[in-house]
Amino acid sequence: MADRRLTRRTFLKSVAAGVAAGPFVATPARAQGFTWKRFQGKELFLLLTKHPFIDVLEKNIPEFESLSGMKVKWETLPEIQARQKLTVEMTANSGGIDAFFTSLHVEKKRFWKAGWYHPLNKFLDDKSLTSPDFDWNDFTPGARAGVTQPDGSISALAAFIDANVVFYRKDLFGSKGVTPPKTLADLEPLVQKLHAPPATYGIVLRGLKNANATQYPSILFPMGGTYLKDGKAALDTKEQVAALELYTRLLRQYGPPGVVNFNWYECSASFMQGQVAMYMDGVNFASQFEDAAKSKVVGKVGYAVLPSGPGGHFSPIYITGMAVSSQSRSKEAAYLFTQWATNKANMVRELMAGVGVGRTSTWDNPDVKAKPKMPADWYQAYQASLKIGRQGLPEIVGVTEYRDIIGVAIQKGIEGAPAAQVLAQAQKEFQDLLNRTES
Amino acid sequence: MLSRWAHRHASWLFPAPAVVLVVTIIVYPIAYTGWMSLHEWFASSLTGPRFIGLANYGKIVLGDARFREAVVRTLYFTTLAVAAETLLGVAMALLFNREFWGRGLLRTLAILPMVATPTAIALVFVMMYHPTLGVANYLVSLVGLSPFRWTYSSQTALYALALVDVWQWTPLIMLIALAGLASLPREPYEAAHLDGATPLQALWHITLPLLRPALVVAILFRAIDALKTFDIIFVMTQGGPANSSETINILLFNQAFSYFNMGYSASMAVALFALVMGASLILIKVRRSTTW
Amino acid sequence: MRGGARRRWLSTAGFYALAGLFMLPTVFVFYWMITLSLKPQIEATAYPPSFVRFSVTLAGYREVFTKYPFFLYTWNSLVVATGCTLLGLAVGLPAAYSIAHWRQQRLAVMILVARIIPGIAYLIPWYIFFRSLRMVDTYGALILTHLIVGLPIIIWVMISFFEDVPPDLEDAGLIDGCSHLGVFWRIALPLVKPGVVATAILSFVFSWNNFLFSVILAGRTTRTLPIAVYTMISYEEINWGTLAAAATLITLPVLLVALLAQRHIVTGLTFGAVKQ
Repeated sequence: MADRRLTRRTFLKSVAAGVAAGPFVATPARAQGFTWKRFQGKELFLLLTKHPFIDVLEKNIPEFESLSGMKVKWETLPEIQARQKLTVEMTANSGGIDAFFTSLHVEKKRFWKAGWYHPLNKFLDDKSLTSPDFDWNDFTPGARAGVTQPDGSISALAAFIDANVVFYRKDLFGSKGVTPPKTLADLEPLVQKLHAPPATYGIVLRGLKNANATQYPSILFPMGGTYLKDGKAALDTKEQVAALELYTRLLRQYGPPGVVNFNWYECSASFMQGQVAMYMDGVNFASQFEDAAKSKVVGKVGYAVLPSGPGGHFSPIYITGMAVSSQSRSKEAAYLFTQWATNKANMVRELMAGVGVGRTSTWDNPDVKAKPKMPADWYQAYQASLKIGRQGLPEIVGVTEYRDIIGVAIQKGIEGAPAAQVLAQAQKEFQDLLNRTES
Repeated sequence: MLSRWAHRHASWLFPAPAVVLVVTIIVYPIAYTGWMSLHEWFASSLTGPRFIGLANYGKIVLGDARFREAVVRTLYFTTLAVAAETLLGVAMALLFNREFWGRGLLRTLAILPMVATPTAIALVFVMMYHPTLGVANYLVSLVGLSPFRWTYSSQTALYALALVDVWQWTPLIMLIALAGLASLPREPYEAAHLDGATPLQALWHITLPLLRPALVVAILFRAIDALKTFDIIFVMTQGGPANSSETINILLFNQAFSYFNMGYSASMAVALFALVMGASLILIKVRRSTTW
Repeated sequence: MRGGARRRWLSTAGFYALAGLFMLPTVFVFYWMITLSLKPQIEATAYPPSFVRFSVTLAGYREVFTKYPFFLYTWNSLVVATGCTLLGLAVGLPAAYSIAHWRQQRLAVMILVARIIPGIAYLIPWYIFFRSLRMVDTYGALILTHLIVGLPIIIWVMISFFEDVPPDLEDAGLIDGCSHLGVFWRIALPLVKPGVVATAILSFVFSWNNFLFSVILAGRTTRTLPIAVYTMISYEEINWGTLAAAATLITLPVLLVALLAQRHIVTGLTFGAVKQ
């Protein structure tokens, strides 16, 4: 059984791991210290997703190349196209991709079941492969759990954690004398007070199916609802109905027209153009809100933790990470890259650029604290949300299909259908999905 | 000797390169897709495809209401879009088929919509269609109408998408019609003129019938592409709201790259192929009746 | 006389008015796209929209050129589109002539099948196929696969045009001792020039805009232009200015090709006419 804690320091263990690591270990009989230049001269190919984390990482890849003596080639595509390309290459068994950026909230169980992730446990334990200052335990418990599969295998190194927070217009809130909602019960009266069409709409949330499924838990969880109970679909519970009713009612009555098909870009455009008083979404949109070249509400945006409810206080979180492809012909070399990409130095760079990361130490880093890119309440809201973070989506193989099922139900609700009715339908479809794919 | 042999066998030497090229490129995909449609596989490197016979097809025909709805929607969208494109395309071709100042420039500008990258156009339209920020509703308000929901309502999404399709692909019909008009023979018009026919009569009795074969081909290709429309729907609504703009191709893509249901999506691909083939054969028959 | 002159003026004015009306949607959307490419992000989504008065920035264009090897992409797209079109014409024109002349309906349908197959069905098998031939990331693979989209339309449209060639002319040629190739080359082809130009433009455009096949089969050296547009779509932002700039730049080469080619589509006045 692989024990991934790095406190294991047995000489024999590291040798055994070195041998098991394959033909790339030059001298298996001797214990090796860690060196970046171990696979000097090798070429790596990465498939990356267009993402703020990657935007920062790409700029620093030359540093890795000089550090390791390897040549790195990569391709960056939007998430859906990247996944498409990965799928084609993996099904064709091409071996052409060594490491890739993985959105665990979509891919975790699916890719694991398909055998596309190469487990990193042995690599993490191998001191000749893992830099001594990598510190696996520096990752937050949520991040570590997020990249670990039910059988204990670690599928990726956590890079970016998206938490959901409340974005609100400090100026509008101030003029109406209100503060961000502390509980779900506060939410609706608050939104109603701020709703003053057509100049200002009370709230905007994602309506587009599939996209809405990542923000919906912001209401579902505090309401006490969830998607699975003991492995069975739980979409028709009383709490779920209440949550759907609240989500859809808020949008139907206080959302901008057409919100039923809003994805994040329509939502954030509305917010940045000053048309909406409140918006709840992933914390990373904030960097645009504070950019004067993009946003009319610079300096007017406040950040707060999501409201709590009868079910508790949660923030849906979503994790992305760097994974090694099981078809890679240079797995150890690819692992060197993934660990470099998620090491402390790089994470500090990310947070300084305003991208949230999964390492605890980064948040307390003096450079980060000295030169904050974002307002103080953003950091506070982010960190507080990570503490109450909870996986926003079920960790099932058919998670995308689940997102479509609940997503359509939400859309129908926004357009006026009764919550209990659409959820009954969704429940049936979801249970059917589970029966089909979770065996 | 060789030239005599070539002369006698010209009827298959001429098309041979094209046929060989096409067959080489498509034979493996056809075999692969057909084979995959009889299996169940979730793109796993650990477990291979599992043979299930015609179960996928059974599911499509009997068990999948979403697929059936997608079929109806696809046909409706195609008919709407292609009809509009044909009327507009022919009208524009007739209008532009003459000598006038700026002719070359105008006719080049007219094909601009289909030249632009479909995804970029789709994204531009997304923001144009934004109910409160978009320029479309701004223009609508200028003429005194109340704002539309465009792609942001399940009632209007399909129509808003058809509008984008019409905007983008009318030039295809126009281009082919223009080329057709340019090759019309002179004699029938001279005869008609001598007989005292009006321009409108010449249009109806000479131009349009002569144009029909080329036009039907244009319609054929537009119909094939419209039945398989993907880019604009994917970018603008992803089949929503609530599946109201979900066509077969979108469903297919979802099954393959979101649900990883390779076997099922392969069988959908076969079903889509059959549908488009059927429509094509009907149009080909229409065309045949006009020439032979 | 005055009545006749006025009538002519009115009909000319009417013509231009009508032409303008038809062109309005096209012109507007492109005008909008161009203004988007010149606007800073904050004004891209502003309401009420600004049509004429807005702050101009070249940041979008600058970003397109600095972020991507734009000239490499353009060159790749050019090579593939031209190669695909030339190859398509080279094999397609004789095929179309043959199908028209010898009524080979079944061949035509077989070629149409290539266009009917949903693009997605091609992806995985083609990737396996080309990978086994070590042809991934080569111009050859891209040209061949783009041909699937262009060749059927070349052939089918040209069939109609070849059918319009008067058979007496062809027969006369044959009687005079011309080979089939000669008839094709010297008699039929010049008569169908408008069709050739139209289909060449179409084939070029379809190849130019093809994204699906390129994203799967192209690699770093052969990556084509549409991919540049896609990468404007990020996780949390759509860079409207750069997106519109990329989209605008991508249309320019094709416009040039179309403009040059259109000169060859002669109007009906020289060959057949719908008189004013």
